[in-house]
Amino acid sequence: MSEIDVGLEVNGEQVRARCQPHDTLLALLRYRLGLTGTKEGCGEGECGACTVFMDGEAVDSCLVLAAQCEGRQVTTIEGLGRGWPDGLHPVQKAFMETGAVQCGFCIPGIIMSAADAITRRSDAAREEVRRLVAGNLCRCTGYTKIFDAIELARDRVARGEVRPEA
Amino acid sequence: MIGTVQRILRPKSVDELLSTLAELQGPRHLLAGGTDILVKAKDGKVAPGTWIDVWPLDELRGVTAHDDRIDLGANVTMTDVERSPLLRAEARALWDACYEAGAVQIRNRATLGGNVANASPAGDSIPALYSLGATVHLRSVRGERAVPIEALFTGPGKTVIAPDEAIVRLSLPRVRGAVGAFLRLGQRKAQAISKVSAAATATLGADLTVEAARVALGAVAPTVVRAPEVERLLAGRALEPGLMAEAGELAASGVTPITDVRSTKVYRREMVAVVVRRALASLVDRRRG
Repeated sequence: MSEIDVGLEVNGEQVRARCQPHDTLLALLRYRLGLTGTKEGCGEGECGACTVFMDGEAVDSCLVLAAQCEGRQVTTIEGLGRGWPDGLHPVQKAFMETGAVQCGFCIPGIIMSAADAITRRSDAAREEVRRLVAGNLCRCTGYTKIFDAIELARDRVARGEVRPEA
Repeated sequence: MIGTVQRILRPKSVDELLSTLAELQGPRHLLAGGTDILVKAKDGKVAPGTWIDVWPLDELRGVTAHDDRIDLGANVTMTDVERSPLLRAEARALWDACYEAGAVQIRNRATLGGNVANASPAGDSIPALYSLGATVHLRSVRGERAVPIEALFTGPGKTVIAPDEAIVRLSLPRVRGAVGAFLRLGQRKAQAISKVSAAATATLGADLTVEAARVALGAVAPTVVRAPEVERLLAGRALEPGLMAEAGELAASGVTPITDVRSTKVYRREMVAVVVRRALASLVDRRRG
């Protein structure tokens, strides 16, 4: 079993890393690149704690092999706020203001899914918001403040109150 | 996982994939979105061998409408299906199945070819594909063959796909005016693997007379199964509530599900009646628009 060399773009930067053939994208991010914002929860695509964007689509990074990332663009929670005021995505800001966090372990993944959801469906009502983040589990909260925060961010973006910096 | 992926190959074309499959010795596993095989591999249920990544093969992506059929590349994802107005209009059972399956992160990676090749009796797209009369196109260096989806599966996780073959596409006959539905029950709405599922696709006359119907059931037998006795019962009759209930009971009496980690045989049998009845009711709603 020989190591493989993987080149990809992570949060706007070209990186190369040596990986094992069985390494996941999650392992590449956390252990080769030191990007520990992305969490490993269940490791089998159930909890969404490891959600990142790959070529613009939300994926569970525990279910993608690092070898599959050659030439791909990946965005993690560390890079989500790039281009937004104060380097914070509107969903991140809304989570801070709403206090939508308890232990915090699930939050990077939930914020990634929420950012994806409000970008694609800026008109999503609560039921649709729930459906779009159903791939993320939180075991502390009752989700109420999480959904409140997502809706706050959705409305601010929809009303043009917060825009990406030029 | 460690040791399971002995090496990973990334062919640049379908031709290269097929020649690779023809020449390889020993266990080989096709990897697309990874949503099933990586979970199995982490569970130690995948034999060590060569993995072949087919995800980058754009030749296998794409939904193409022809006069008589719709072709779906093996790499079409559940999200691709969900975003297709054509499939929502003409292959509603499949659209429902993809809309309901997993969650966004899973649907963005799960492919139809992968869901079929995984051959789970609980695979959500499979009952829908049965109800739509899908054909599976397998290719190898020896040529291409078309297998009706019902002839593809020989048991849980088992298919007639030869070691040198790959699924390249699925095709669905286009039936004007057909309506369809897929329903599932699981531990929760999102993510859960189905305890029981049902798909129905039918053409209904203006008075709701069933002109043709295909009904399929998931997670109640070693493979997804058709419910021919239900289809015979419905033929030529108007879909009214009494007939739907009768069809559900008949479907339930025709299956012998098992008790496993996800559910019991008693619950599954009872729920077959419910999901079949609801699927038929949904056909009526959709026929009426």
